[in-house]
Amino acid sequence: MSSPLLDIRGLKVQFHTSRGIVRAVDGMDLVVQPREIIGLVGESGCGKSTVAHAITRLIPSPPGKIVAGEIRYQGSDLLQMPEREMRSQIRGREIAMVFQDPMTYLNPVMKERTQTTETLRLHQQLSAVEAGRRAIEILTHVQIASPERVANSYPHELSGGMRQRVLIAIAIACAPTLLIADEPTTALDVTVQAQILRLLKDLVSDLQSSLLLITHDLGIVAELCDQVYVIYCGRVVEHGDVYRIFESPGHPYTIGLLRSALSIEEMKDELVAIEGQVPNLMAPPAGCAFHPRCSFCMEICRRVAPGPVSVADGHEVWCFRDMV
Amino acid sequence: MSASDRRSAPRLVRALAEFWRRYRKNRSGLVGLALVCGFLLLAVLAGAIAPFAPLDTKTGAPFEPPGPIHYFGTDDLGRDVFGGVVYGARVSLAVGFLAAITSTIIGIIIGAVAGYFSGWIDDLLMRVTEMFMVIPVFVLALLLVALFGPSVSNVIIVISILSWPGTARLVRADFLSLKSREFVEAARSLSAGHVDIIFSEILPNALAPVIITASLRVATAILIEAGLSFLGFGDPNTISWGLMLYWAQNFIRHAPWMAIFPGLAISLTTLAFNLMGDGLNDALNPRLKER
Repeated sequence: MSSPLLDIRGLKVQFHTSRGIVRAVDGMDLVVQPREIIGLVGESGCGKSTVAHAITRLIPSPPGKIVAGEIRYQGSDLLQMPEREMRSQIRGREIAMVFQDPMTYLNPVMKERTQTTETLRLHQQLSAVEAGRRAIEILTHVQIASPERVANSYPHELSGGMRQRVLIAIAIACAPTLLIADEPTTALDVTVQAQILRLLKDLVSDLQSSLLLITHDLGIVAELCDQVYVIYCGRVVEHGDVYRIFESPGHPYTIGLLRSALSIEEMKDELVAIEGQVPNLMAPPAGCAFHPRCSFCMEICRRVAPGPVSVADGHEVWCFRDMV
Repeated sequence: MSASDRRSAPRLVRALAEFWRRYRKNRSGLVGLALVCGFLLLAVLAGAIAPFAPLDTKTGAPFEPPGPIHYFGTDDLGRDVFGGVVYGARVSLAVGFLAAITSTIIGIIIGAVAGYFSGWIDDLLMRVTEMFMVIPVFVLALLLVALFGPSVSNVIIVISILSWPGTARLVRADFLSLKSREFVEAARSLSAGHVDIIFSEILPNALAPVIITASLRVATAILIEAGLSFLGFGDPNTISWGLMLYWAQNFIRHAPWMAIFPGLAISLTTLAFNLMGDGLNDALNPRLKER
């Protein structure tokens, strides 16, 4: 296999608040191969978005701080890179983000024409006419039927799905090698969701880019991703091939997630939920962070944090149960 | 001109029409706008409107009361008061607009930098701003004009230097809330720098209240200019309403028209800009838009 596009090792991100230190990401490893679609799955507040922000080094500081680890992008460590280089070479150009809420992430007083070409204007000197032409091109690329009209619109004049397409257009303007999509469809209707996901998939294969998809929706993961990382409390608890994970999930948390998602398909009346609450990241439980909610909890789980156990080729689970 | 530019032209027209539709609803705003336009016309067409040049003496007998030849009467040297009021509009409006524009620009820059960067920069700039706010503007203006000489440009500079703090605080407050909005984060993820973010992302969102205060600032500037001239600290070689009031001081019982008409002009312009600000507030305030 070729060398990975993105290789995150032992990443730790902390937020220093007045009430204590929040360990949002606590030692995470993650590998993205070229042209791969990776799903990052977990509940709200498990540190998924923090990873995305860490990759582009846009964690609000203070209070946030990357305290350990390295993020290698095409071999060079982004965490060591000077801010100037980060801006001129990486953000928007190599790595671009698609955000969650298309309303709030678009500047309300800027026409889409201007917003779409912002990256191009920042990275390449473009004349106004040329930029306008490119804007239409890019908007066509994200399958907007009337790009001219959209280009001359303000965000409030567009529908949610259209706005999300514009957000994607902005992200792909410079043909980035890595696209990070942070819950790209959460704010949309289900029907529009499917269109947007299809679009993302097509674009990524067109541009030969990789996609890091952050979501809590396992349906999206099943539809789109090659590899899955399941995150709990700022740590990876399981990762592997998407088919493996769905067929034989190893970690009790993954099993719980799958069961809560599948309860609808199996036509059960009751929603299956994982018992308990996401723990407070200021004082995570000792040992395995999941043990208070785990129905397979053993004595050792309360004391020691499990290491990775390889259950199959490329399928690793951070659980003592799989050691046996 | 490209094809797309032509297409966007009617959109601008539509945007203006929409603005006008909202502005029109405010009666007093309309009155203000009409008055401002009237005074602007007066200033631009002064040469055609006034039958006598304002500084020409002996255009008639001294202290002639208002009549068919000298609409507003004449003063102690036989100068035409109507001509003075008409030509005086030039100085008043020029001082008003230029001082408002410069003070707004200063205010925007200081407020934007303070609000965007916050931290010690904010502390420093806001303490300076507060210092300027506690100084009685008029007294300091008097002092500065006395020091640097009473010319129209000095008056404009002094008024600008003294009246930016309000705008700065307003802009800062908007920046404090706007800088943490998601679209700013999005711009940053596309590698936009501070200057980009301040001027092309945040500022357009914070402009409405700034425009409204700017129109009120015109009125204050006109008042300060008139006040300075009235006390004899205006440019003595350029006719202005304040200067006319200064001349009128000794004859107020004998020839009240010398004071009444320039005074009326000052009150009306000030009122006009305040009413216009009111109208702009209704038209630009997003919370009132839906009504």
